[in-house]
Amino acid sequence: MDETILTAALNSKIIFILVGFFSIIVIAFVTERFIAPKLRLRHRENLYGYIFIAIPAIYFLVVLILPMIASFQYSFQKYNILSSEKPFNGFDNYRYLLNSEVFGKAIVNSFKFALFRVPLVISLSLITALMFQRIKRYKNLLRTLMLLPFMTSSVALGWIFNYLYSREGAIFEVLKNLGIPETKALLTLNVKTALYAIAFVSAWSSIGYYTLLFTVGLDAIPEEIYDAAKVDGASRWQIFSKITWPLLNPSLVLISIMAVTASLKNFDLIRVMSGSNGTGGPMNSTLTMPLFIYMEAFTRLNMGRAAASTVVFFLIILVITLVQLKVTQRDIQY
Amino acid sequence: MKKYVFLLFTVLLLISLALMSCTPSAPSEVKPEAEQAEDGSNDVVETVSSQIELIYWQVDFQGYDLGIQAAIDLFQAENPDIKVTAVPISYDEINQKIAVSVPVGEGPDIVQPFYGWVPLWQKSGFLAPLPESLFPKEEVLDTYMPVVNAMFIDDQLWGLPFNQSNWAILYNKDMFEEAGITKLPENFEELRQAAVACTKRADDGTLEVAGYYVEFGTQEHILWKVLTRKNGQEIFSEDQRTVTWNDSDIGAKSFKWLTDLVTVDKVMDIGFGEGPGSAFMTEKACMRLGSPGNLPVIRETNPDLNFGSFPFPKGLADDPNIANLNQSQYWSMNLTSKAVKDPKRAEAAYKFMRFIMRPEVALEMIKAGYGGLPAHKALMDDPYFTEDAELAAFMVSLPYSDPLFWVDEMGERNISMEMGDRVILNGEDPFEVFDWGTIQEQNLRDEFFNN
Repeated sequence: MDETILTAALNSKIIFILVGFFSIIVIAFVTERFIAPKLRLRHRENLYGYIFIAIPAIYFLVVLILPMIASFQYSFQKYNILSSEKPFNGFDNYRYLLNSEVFGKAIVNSFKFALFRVPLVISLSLITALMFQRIKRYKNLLRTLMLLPFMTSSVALGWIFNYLYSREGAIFEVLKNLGIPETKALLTLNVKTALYAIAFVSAWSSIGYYTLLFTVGLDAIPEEIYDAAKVDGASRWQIFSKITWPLLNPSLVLISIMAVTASLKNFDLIRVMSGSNGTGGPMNSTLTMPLFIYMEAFTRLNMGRAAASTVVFFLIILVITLVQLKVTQRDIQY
Repeated sequence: MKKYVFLLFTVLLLISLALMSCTPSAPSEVKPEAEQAEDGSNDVVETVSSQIELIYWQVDFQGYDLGIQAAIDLFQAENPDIKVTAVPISYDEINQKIAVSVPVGEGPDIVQPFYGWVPLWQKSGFLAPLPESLFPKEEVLDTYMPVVNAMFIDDQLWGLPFNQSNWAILYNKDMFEEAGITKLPENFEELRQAAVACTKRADDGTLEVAGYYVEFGTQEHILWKVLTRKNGQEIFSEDQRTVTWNDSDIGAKSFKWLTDLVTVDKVMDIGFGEGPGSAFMTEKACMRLGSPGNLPVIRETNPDLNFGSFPFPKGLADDPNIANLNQSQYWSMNLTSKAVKDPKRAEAAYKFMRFIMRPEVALEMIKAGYGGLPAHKALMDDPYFTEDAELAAFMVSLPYSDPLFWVDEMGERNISMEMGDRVILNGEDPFEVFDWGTIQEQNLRDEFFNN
């Protein structure tokens, strides 16, 4: 056989697929024939359980955990993505970040984005979910409609709102008619408002999704507790503050953690809507951590610094999540 | 139990197939030709028929695929043992694609970067130099216009141009006539006056026509630097290490001239129109900074637009060679370090680069889709360029066109854009912003040369 053809065949993807396929058959055959018969029925069933769990676990390990460990490693290397050499450079990347004004601004902007978006999205979603509780007709249709912005691509939403915020757009027109000067009415070109203008779009597009989560939480509260409260003559506010709100706590914990991490990790919408060709402008006012990491990795080609930023970002999110869990999680029973 | 085992087999098989199909190809893998051309991720290989295949990555702009294919067809007719496969990569994705391919030893053999990216790519070890024995410096300098200078780094040649682009001013003839402008501007003061005369606002002050479209996100982030040079102040030291644009007040004044167009002369409002191209074609801009590549787009998109072009105005420097300076820029053609690892493949790649050096090949590429101006001296007087009325304005300053040296094109662009934003959007003092920009630019240069 021609050597080149043999090499080509050995190197092709087919060989990987075949090896994978036969490995699975061998593992299954060995398990079924030699291991399983020696086990008790209960253990035998457990064995298959472990095998099933192993599949996503391996995937999780390969796709998430290993890259995370690699990021830690890269953060201590001078790693330019175009270069095959990655010399160890100690804490240089972290030192650079510590002295970088832009990195500091990216962290502050990420927090500003989250602080604006999270309360907005939680309060509006909760109000909407409570309103849905009172609606009897077309409930499902309205819920579906509420979900539409969430299901729409962020890129498409970004372009639509870019237009609405522009000089030709309705939002600019309304603000201008309210007597706001042109330079301030162009929200995404104004250093003071650009970030919040994007955060607003992000919050608006997620309301449907969080409403759905709140609805599930509200539906889980037993109706008898409300009935008992009504019999006792509790007012609407009392019912909300003493029953709904405390019993909604598990949903609230989940939603607040999801909303905070989603806000901090938001990338696509910011990339599409931020000024200066999507690089965080004007004047870095919309530069958040994910965008900083992306720019460092793929425009400045510095994967080492991008990895160091990722590690810092990961630690920030981890700390915030732990604090959130500690502060918000309460065990309430009636 | 058999049911479980069957289920287990099925699930494992499906997952393994899915995972395997995501597995990146091995570096020396051979794929069917059609697949290679489609995804471009494959390594360069010696195919079964011992034909060397070179992968060419180019930025995907309108017509560029036709331009490179014209060259490839001519090359392959002469060299049937070498196959060149062009892979279009979107401008926004090129760095990501490279980032994914390089660590696993894949990627292109020949790549087409913006010339300003070359220093950073060269420093990273991604590119390979063209050997002096095959590309003698004297011959290269004899063949090309000064535009090729940017390809020499550390006295080694790292790539070749095949066309180039410079600036001229595109103007709307009807608007000029309406504004009573009878003489085309020859210097920047006349340009400013024409822009003011051309600007149209409604009674409530709303801008209807921008006299001159200013957009730091596009070419204007370079314009003030070129203007500084034209006015007699070099912007960097000869070794490119030090910013010198602040050695006199010429730099700050040139920067201010540009921001004044918006803040003082009010020939443009922020957020007006949808970029210079669209604004000019929809008659919302009277003038814009133009490149030769804009001409076919305008002619195709809005054939009724009554427009013309005039040469990039003169600066204030006494030396006419400096006063007439123009910015030259281009997409270069470079070999990657991967291409030259294997001697046979390197030989094929060098052969392709030598082929591109021929003026007649470059002309075919330009005609077929790349557009722009010639980079070869031999094409300077070619009727294709000289007989085009709008292109002639660009050709006038071609002998004075000179590329800037970028250490970090994207980083430098961001600094310049922020300088514009600080003055135009934030109302900061242009001289203070200029000083801020000087520090930032020097930091980038220090990092490039010292780190």
